[in-house]
Amino acid sequence: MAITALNSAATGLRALSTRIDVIANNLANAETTAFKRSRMNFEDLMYVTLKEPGSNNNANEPSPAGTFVGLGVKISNTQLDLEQGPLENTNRPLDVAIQGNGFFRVKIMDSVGDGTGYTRNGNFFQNRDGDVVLGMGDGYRLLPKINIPTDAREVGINQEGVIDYIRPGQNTRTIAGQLKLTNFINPQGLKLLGGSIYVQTEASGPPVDNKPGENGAGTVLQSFLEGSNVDPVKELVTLIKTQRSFELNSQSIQTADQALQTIGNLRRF
Amino acid sequence: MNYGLYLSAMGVLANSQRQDVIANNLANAETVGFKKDLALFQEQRTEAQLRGRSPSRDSNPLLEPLGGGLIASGTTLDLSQGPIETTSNPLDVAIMGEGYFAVRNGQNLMLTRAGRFQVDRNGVLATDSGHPVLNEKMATIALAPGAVNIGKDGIITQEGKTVGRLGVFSVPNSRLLAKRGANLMSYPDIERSLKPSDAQLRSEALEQANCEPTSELAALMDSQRQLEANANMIRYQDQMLSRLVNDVAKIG
Repeated sequence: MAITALNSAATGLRALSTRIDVIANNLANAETTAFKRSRMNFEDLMYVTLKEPGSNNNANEPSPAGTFVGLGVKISNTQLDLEQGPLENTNRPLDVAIQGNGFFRVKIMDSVGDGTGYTRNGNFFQNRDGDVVLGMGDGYRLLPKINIPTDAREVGINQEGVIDYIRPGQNTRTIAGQLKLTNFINPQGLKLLGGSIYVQTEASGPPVDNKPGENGAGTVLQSFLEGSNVDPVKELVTLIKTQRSFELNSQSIQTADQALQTIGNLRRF
Repeated sequence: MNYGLYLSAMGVLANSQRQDVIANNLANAETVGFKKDLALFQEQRTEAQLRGRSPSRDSNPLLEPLGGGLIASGTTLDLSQGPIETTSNPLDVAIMGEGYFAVRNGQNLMLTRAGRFQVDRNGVLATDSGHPVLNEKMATIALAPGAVNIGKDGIITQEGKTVGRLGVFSVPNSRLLAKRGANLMSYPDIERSLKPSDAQLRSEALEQANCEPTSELAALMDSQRQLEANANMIRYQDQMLSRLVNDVAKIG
């Protein structure tokens, strides 16, 4: 009866409005460094089988079509789109962009998982001890730890991630450490923690550390930051489509409501 | 009792079921790989015809030619191609033409047109719900970390080397396909029925739902009016009975 149509349309309204939430978040982060857009995926909910296809009809012949009434739609997941974002020159020696796959490993709060987070935002600073930390959030420390003395000049980072510098009064470059990139077999299975931080999950697989440029890891680029990979045009087109589908589903609700009203008014004295 | 009352009630019920089907189509307007359902109606045969009796003895011969009203006889899948939307994800694959991906759902084989794949943590190619997708020999596909390229014929290459081939299958009788939710479809005796399909694939693209808002809304309005017309007929016949019972026999 019309109640089924009401419920199906309600699942549509709920799923589509959640998609508008996801699009709004993507657009809000169109200027966020190293932001990766999410895509909302839908799947059809279950079906009530009123008649199996191939079941025998009155004449003992298999009927060519079954009767399935679907119960609406369901959100399957939000899928991270890890496409490379555009690279922007910043002229800052401690800004590092990743070209290709991989994440920087940082130490985050101990309360979250094993206390390790992963990010593609390479906007690094030195803290007062000279350790390399992330500029955003709580200044999470880069892992493995890299220390650059506070009086170092001309900090250089090559494509393979080797960091070196010149001390005052010296002419030779001293190596401070090696940047590592972490890869996952299924990076789309990472959990989003906010603040550009991702954490490992059962779905992502274990983290694998590589030197930049090795084993499928990307290379690093000094004095660049990776921009957001949100494409405003694409997001707006999806937003328009979502809004129209939302309206269509409200039409289903109205129709089902009218049907119920018609039936409810059948008996008149 | 008035025979027409039942015929009109069948009309209300059948149209109400049609609305349920349309509501589900519209709810899935943004579901990748969704194929819309069409609600089918057929004329209901009379009780005497159904039982294979001659209509003369136990029914009214005047009413027999009227038939038994309308019945929702089934739903059929509209398998027409949905519009292709390009994405930038190399693991998004759309099927152009008739064909299905085979996925493993527990012990069962299922079919899907939603080519939204991911690599799971063991490196196995799977749908975004975690069902492993199968190659042309019905085995799972293992991938190494790194970039993946999927060709028109389903051949998967990584760094120039062929690592597998996505299986695309067709079924002998698409009317026996049954939707099971979660973008999956089942088919009777699936292991022996599947044949390789020559449909082409397109990577970095997804097939959108094939329900077209205009025709769905038109069908919705149509079913609404038919439902109201049948409901009005119920009311007329009710009034007629009311007259008969309350007014005709009134004296003075």
